[in-house]
Amino acid sequence: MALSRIERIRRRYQTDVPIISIERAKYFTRSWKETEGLSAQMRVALAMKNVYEKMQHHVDPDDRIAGCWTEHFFGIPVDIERGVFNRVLEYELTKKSMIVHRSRSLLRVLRYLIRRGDLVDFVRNQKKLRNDGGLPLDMSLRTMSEREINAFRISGDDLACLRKELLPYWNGRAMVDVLEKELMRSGLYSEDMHDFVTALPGNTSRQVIMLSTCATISSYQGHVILDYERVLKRGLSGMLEDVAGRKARGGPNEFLDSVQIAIEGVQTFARRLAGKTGGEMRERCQRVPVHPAETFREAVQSIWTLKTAVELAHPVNLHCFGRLDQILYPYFEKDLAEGVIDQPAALELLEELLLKIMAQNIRPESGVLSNFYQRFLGSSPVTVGGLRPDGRDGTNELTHLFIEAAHRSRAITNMSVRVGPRTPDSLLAEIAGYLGEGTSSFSLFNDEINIAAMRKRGFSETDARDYSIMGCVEATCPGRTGSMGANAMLLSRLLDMTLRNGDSRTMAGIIRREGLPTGEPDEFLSFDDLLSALRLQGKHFIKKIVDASNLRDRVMAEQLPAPYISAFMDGCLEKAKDVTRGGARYDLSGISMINSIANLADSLWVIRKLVFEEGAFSLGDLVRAVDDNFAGHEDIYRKIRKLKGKWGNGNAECDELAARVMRDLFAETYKYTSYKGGPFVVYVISMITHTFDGRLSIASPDGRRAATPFAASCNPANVERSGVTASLRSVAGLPFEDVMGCAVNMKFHPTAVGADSETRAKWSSLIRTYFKMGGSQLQPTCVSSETLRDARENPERHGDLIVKVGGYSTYFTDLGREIQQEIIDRTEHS
Amino acid sequence: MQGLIFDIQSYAIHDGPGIRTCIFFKGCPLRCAWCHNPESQEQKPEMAYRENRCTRCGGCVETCPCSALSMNEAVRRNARLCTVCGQCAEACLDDAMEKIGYEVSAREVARTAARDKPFYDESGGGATLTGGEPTSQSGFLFELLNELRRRGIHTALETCGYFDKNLLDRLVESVDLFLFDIKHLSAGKHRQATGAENRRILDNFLALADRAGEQRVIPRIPVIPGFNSDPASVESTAQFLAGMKWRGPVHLLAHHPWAGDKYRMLGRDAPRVETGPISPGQRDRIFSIYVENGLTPVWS
Repeated sequence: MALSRIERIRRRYQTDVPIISIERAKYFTRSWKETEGLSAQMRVALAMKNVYEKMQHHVDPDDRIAGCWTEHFFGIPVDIERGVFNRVLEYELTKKSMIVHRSRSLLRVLRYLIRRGDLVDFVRNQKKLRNDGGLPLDMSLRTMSEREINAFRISGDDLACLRKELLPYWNGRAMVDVLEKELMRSGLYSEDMHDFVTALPGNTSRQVIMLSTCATISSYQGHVILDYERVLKRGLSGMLEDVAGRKARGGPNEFLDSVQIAIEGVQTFARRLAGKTGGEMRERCQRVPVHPAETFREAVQSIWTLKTAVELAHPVNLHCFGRLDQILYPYFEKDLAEGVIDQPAALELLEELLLKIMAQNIRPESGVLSNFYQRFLGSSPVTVGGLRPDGRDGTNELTHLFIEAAHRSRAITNMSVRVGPRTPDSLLAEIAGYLGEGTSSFSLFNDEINIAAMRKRGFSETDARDYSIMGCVEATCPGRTGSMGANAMLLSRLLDMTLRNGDSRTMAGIIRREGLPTGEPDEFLSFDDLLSALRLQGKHFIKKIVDASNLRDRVMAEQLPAPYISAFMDGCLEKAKDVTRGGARYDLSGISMINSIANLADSLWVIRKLVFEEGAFSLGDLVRAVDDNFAGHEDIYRKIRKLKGKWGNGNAECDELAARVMRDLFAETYKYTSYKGGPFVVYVISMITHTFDGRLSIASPDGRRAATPFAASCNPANVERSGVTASLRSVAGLPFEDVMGCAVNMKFHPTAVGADSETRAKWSSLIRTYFKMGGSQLQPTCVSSETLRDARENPERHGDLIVKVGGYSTYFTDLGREIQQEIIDRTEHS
Repeated sequence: MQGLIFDIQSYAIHDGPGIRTCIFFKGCPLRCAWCHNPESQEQKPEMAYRENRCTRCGGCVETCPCSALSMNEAVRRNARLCTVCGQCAEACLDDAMEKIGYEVSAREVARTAARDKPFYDESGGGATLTGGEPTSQSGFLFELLNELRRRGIHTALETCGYFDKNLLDRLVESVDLFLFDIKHLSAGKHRQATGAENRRILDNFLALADRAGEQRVIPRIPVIPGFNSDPASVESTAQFLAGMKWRGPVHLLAHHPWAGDKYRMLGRDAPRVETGPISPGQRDRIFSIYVENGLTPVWS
């Protein structure tokens, strides 16, 4: 049977190996070399202008929306000047460089372990791990194109140019290189940690920089929703007039010059793209985004051209679309009334759009992460539903069409659905129905809580109502909020340091004096003493993360300003200030509390009940048991495992403990202001780190064994038979008005969600009750464990199966084995 | 007052209106050959052992104070020595060894159920008392019904109908909704398959229908292939209800897959019955027999 156009596109994205394109890197670099002496602001603007002027475009016979990221149907550009993946490209593209890299890093690790006398311990840990059936990190010599998961390829000529010309030039100049150097100089590392970080093996990507065993910052600017509405209404030409007007009011201003170049650059991109197309599509591409959009098709093309151009200026930066059902609706409504478009045609266009968004959300990650990774990240969501800025419910016909498009296209593009008291039952029932059929790309957001959270962080009432989801689950005001640098704090490690007088223990040995010396375990006289110590450690590391995050933001502002984001961000023009310096109307910096609330809460519950109340064993005994991965401490292990009422079972006492600890950490975070003048806010979202980091972690006091995953994001870890309502009660007990985004994964059996209209109504009530209780988010995966197991063994039969991972969804068969297992092991509610 | 129950399940969505919590009483006067909850039959705690979950760690064998357990290829339990103290289950980390059935007060059960009250209120749900047979522990049952009502929780009772008619008045007074099983109209077949007479059940149904009315009573017909799925059996049940001029819905329950594993885990021999899934064609035929008798059947 012939495949439909949409199926064909999806199939190609699923089976093709994406091609690394160096055009962007090449033209950017050549311009950069020629502009030495100019300011960074101008150099970035001119470098991308050069890219837009020289790059080739690909237009596919299957395209109805024009615009690929590179000269290939399915390619990825290189962010060479930022350098997040430069080492991956340097080492992991050829066999020879892989061998050199692996041997060097192995030597480095050996030297580190020998110097510290940890070698024996390390080998023993690895052996134990293998005996327990754990998968080792992928330290193989497979190159990027030979990988099973997340493979990439590159042409021979491009490879040569990359290795001979581009990578050597940027080595030491790339933003990440400068950032790493500055961080090393900053004194933010402890001495042991400094040693450890420089010896870190294997992982060549630098998306995340490890500051401490319990703290990381990410190195991309990321998480941004452009002001698409403005482009739709004014067109680039109108926006250029605005810049001219602003210039006339001010006098000479380099930032405004850079913005003008940026808008003209995108015009060039659009013009050259139009030149590649034909027929109706050509007419559309000639009109938009240069001029205001007039039809639905033009509107979709306009935002897509802009997104693709800016995503090229800042690759892998989590550019999201925001509330497309709202901003596209006027065009849809008008076209529908005039008979220019009908629902099926609009639906097909949206399906194509969702698949294209998915294809620009891939990362050339290091192979070490393969067992924990996948190709499509889904972290570029579309937001639908919810209140309009004027307070009325915004659910419209496009909301339903987007939901249907998500179901039909099977794209890995999260559909973030805002649900409030005024959301019609029909929308929830429709989602339940699609979930029941196995489409797991929906995330539900509680409008009331998220609007309240936005208000609390300084967003105006109308802007708060207009919130939209970016990245996995993070709330922002679209078009008005500067980029959000993500950082993370690893909660279980924080507790581990509290139990070791400030030392930190991982599978790779002990790092001394990493945290504060808050006392030896048996010196705590009460549970509250321990909590105070934990709070002190938290305070210390939050400060450290804030300092590092601000340092990164400064480095970014100095090294790589972002005129191509600033041009499309409300506030920058008015303030005549780049987005990297706080030009946007609002700005957010975030700390994600990960790995995990559940493991931390359960560990504290164990300590409170068994150590301090029952006196079943001492804190020192517990630490020794954890060190031995509970081997030889079966009695302690049994008591821990059998302790009832852990977090996620609706036990009010434990829920309160979890809420109290988190409230303290949240309050500490909110004390700080970022380099860009915005607040530091809290997220609870683990991406893939709960499996990856779990692998590097020793056991924890909640009974979690060494080298096994932590609980994902905001998921409970030890759910008894008390069921889904109890879990939801526990989760809803956290102070979500102080959280700007969290992921709560729940796995449902299909029959518990969408079997018939009565079941769908009951499931909708379940969600509504959970939201009334104060829950913030829920992302259901609706597939039976049997199906998941079958999909793991027979991937060829389940290519379309979508599951939720951290805060995003992806194809199950694309996932590394380890993360597949974690998803299968999650509690299933039937 | 203490009662014997074996489970409390939340988000029950097939046992009455809305989102419900099911409370499973232990002990049943019937012994239906097809019973898929054999652990609900005996009105005393029992030990269950799920071999497939067992990691053969031997923790239970070590713990047993009666030396009733031994380890060969799997754990073997000597029922004559075992006092069902449950210490082995306490020691088991893999949920392989389980003590089924525990004593609990009505107040505690009601308190547990009340935690989900927001879910009931939003969905029009409540608590469903099931089992086993709740009326077999009538003292505990009425106290629990009272405790639930005090907390404003809607109650449903799933019953096999085999109870003392003296309970009728109080049941009508304290239960909001009855889900009443009718298995077979033939006295002989009923006795043969369930071990009990159906006269008492049918009389109770008539009396209850009379007093509580069609709004509060839902007859439920478990459709068991090889027992009551043939046209004659279906016809007789339909005629019984038609004879009462029953206007409310009649729930038809497709039989679940057979529970051989559950019998094995209890160390019992599974009764030999021939059951299989009901074909869509059979479902349609049964449905139309009810319709032809002027009834409103609902497959659930």
